[in-house]
Parts: sequence; structure tokens; C-alpha cells
Amino acid sequence: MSKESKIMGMAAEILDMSVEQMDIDRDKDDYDNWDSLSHVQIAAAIVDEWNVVISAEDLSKIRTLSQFLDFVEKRS
Amino acid sequence: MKIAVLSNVNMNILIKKLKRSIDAYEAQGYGNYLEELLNEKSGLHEYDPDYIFILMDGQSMIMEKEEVLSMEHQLIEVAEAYLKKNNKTKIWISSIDLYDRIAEYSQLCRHRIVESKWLNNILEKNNRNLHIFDTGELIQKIGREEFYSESLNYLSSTPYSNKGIGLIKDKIIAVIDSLQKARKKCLLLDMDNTLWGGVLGEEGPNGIQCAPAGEGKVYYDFQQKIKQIKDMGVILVACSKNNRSDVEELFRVNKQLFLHQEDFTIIKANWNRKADNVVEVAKELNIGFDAMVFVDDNPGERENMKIELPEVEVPDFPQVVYELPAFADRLYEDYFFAFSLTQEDKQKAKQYEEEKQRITAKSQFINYEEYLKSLNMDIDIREVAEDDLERAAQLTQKTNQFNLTTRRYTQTDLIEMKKKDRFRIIIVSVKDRFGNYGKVALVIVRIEQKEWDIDTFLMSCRVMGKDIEREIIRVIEEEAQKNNIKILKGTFIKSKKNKPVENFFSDMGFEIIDKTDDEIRYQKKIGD
Repeated sequence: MSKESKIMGMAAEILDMSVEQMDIDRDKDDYDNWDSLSHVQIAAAIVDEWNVVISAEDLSKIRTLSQFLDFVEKRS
Repeated sequence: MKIAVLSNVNMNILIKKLKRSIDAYEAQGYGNYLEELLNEKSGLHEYDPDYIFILMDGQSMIMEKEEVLSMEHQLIEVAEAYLKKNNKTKIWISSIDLYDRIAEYSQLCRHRIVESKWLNNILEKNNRNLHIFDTGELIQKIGREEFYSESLNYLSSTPYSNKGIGLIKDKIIAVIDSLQKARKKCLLLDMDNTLWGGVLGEEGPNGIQCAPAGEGKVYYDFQQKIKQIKDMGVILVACSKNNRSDVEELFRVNKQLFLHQEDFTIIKANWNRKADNVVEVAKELNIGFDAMVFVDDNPGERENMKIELPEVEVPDFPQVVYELPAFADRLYEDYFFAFSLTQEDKQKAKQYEEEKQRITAKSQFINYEEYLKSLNMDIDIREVAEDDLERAAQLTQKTNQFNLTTRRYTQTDLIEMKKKDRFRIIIVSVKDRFGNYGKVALVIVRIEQKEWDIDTFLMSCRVMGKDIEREIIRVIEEEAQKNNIKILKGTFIKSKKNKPVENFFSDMGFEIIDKTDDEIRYQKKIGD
């Protein structure tokens, strides 16, 4: 499974949506239920999956799933 | 229905998940659970939840060097005070999981003791509104590595993984469900390849698989769990395409089975359609289809049941036999889980098996004859054999109510009488679909030239009110007729206890021929 579809799947589960409803470039504020808690949950899932460390500062800059993906690509 | 989750760690992820299916309290921050419970002006008090789950993370406590048990003591005190003021609320306190790798070898397991003391402190309160929420069981199920998440812990002070939180959520929902949902009452079980391996009709009573060791062990273990479910107040009914006599023989002959015939309130072993049997069972037990769960290895039977009686729950049967015991656990959890059983619940199940059930059945039939018919009574009337005499003597000694002459005989007396041709001693055994009563009635007839005189007619009060006496009289008349006897005589001798049968002979169509204060003589002409 590609990193992209993996991230989509994890985020969908956390946000309680289907993968089809997700859009990798959509801003987090344009999701109904992507609050700060979900944001941390997605980050934690990514951290656990790829063994990367994410700082609070980096996390606050990320606004889309594609930015999460970029982050992972750069670090792992 | 409103719930609240309080914790010493950040449980907002859990609360968010819960809110998708239930009203849940959203605390401001976390860790201030004691204040929330104590302060009557707190958000919690204002929210006034029905159920409160206090989930304590043990690891956070020891990391903060807290005295775990004295902390718990305080928590329980505060919880009980809250319950006193809010008497319709229930509180769960979680079990705790402690671990510590940095210690001497002999000290590594010391936390286990603290964990069990923690549980014991809650249990010993014996407060019917204070319960344990066993998070530890969830951790054991998937392992610490899966249950905890270091990243979430450091990113958001939530020590548990998404998976772990999902499990906690499911467990909370399951607990709530078990309190709200009506549990099922009756478990309908197929027999061949469900309760044992193989087909009884083909393999015979000793050929089927079910034994405490060896190949049949999985069925034996399954039966053992089914028995446990029964002991939780669930009615077991067998529903099998088999000859009834084969099934009865099996229970008689095969001593390897864990379940016995008596464990089943009803056994439907016949070749009727299973849905028809289930309709009968519902009537006999006076319960709805929505109180029943149907277990059958045959997918065709399951499909039919789903179509014909959609209210009956029909769980999938495990693909592999080895899963049977785990399947029994699931049956219990999904359909029969009891949050707590009252003494009445347990007795209720027993009553179903015994007299109460006969009464329930009775009330369903407006027509008394129909009720008797429904009992499937099996009345065996025969001459006594040598080994019946002890019981026969006992019956004459003990029976008071339904005893027309109250003549007491010893076993020796009866042996003497049996030797002479002048007496016939008849013993009656009764069975019905609720069970076997054994030998419960006795008749002694004195043989005269052209007449038979009923010397003794008695019946155990356990089987009164089933018209058994009518059947006995009918058989005696038939027998008398065969022997060319024209007159049947009977006597009623009044005693302190036998008033219930004072009109017995009249009811049976006898005429009075003589009467004193204490004794009435009757006769009936037969063969007219």
C-alpha cells in the first residue's frame, strides 16, 4: 500500500469518514470534524507508522493530508 | 441516557468517539475528577449523568510517584459520597495497569499485588452502584504494545492508542447496553454437529463425538460453557432433526456428554420444520420470538429461521469446530449477558424447569384438556415387580391427601399380598415433557369371585390435578372387563387429610351402596 493511501485510510478512520469522502489537498478547516484533537491523532498515527518525530511547531504548520505526506517523505 | 468519563489523563478522544452514539459529558480539561465529583456546583453535577466511568491510568500515577492505594481510597470515598447524593447514578472505577521495568528482579511483579488490592478495595465496598470497569482485561486481550501509544501520550497526554481507545469505547457501550437491553431468555440448540460431532442417527449413541478428552473434547468444552450459560438463568431448548427415542437413548447410554437431558427445558427431537418447533416452544414457554437465539451448524436451517421467524436471533456458526468454546463466550456476551443476577433471576430459570412452568403452560390453555394434552404425559400403569415393592410400601406409608383408604402396608405385607392370587397391586409411573416424576401412584385391588374391590387407591400430591386418576380407573375397568368382572367396588375411609378426594368415586361414576359416618362404600357396574 502506498504511503498516500495509508495516510488517507488512517485519517478517514480517525475522522469517522470513508476514504472516498477524503481529499488529500483539502484544508483541515474544511472538514467538519477535523479539530485539534483529530489533528494530534492523525499525527500520532503517522508517528507510530513510520517512526518519525514531529515537533509542535511542525504540527501547527500542517493543514492538509498532503502536507502530512510530504512531512513523512522528507523524514523517513 | 447521559454518561460521563472522568480520568487522570486526557480522554477527550474517547469522549469524542462516545459522543457519536451517546450523550457524554465534556469536562473542562482533565485530571480534576475529584473536584468534579465533590463540588456540587461543578459541570458534572450540573450535567447529572446516569453513569460515570472513572478511568484511571495506573502508569501515570506511579510516574508521578503517587501512593496508588491511598489515592484510590480517597477516590472511592468521594465516589460513594457522590452516589449517596445521586442515588440513581452508577459509577465505574477502572482497574489499573502498572508496569515498571527498572527494578530488581524479585520486585518486578510487585505491582500485580497493588493491582489486585485496588480491585479488592472496590469490591469490598459492596455498593450496588459502584462497579469495576476492567480496562486490564482489554490490555490483556491485545497486549500493552498495542494498547498504549507513546506518541499520543507525548503529543496529547493520552497514553492509549486509537485501537486501545476504540476498545474502551466498545466496552463502555457494551456495559450500557447490558443495562438497557432486555437479555434473551432462551437458547435453541441444534444437536448433530452442534452439540456433538457426527450424526446421532447414523453413528449411534456411542459413535458421536463428545468426550472429556480426545477428539470430542471441543464439543465437551462447548457443552460445559452452554451449561454455564444455563446456570446464568437461560432456558436451554434442543431443536434437532432426530428420532426422539434416539436422543433419549443417547442421554441414557452415553456418559461422556457434559449436558444431561434435564438441562434442557424442552427437547424437540422430531422431523418437523424447525420454525414450527420454535413456534411451539414459544407457546409452551410463553415467551416471544425476540427472546430466543437459534444456534445451528446448518446454514440452510439458519436461513429458513431468519426468513420464517425474523425476530429470532440467528448468529453465524463458527467455520471451524475449534472455535466452538469461544463461540459460546460470544453467545453469552452478545445475547445473555447479565450485569447482575438477582436471586429471583436465578430461581426464575429453575422455576421454568419445574412446577412454575407447568402452571405457565396451564394458563395458556383455556381448555384444560388441551393443557393436559400439551404436557405429553406418559402414564405407565403396570403390575408391581419385585423391585417396585419398596417404593409401593413407602407410598402407602407417606401418602395422606390423595389416599382413599389410608391403609398403611409394609414391604413384607405387600410381598405376602403379591404371593396370593387374591390381590393385584398396580403401580403407576408418570413422565411429562417437564420431567420424570417416577412411581407416584399405587392401586391395590382385592379379587372376589365376580367383583374387584379397590382396597387402596393413592397418588402422590406432586401429580394431582392432571387427570391421571381418571386414566388409572379407565385401565382398571378395562382390565376387569377382560377378566370377566362385572362389578368394581371402592371404599372411601375418611381421614384428617383426605378431604380433597372425598368425592373421588362419585366423580368416577361410582354409586353409593353403603354409608356410615367415616366410611362410604361404592360400586360401579362395568361392561354395560
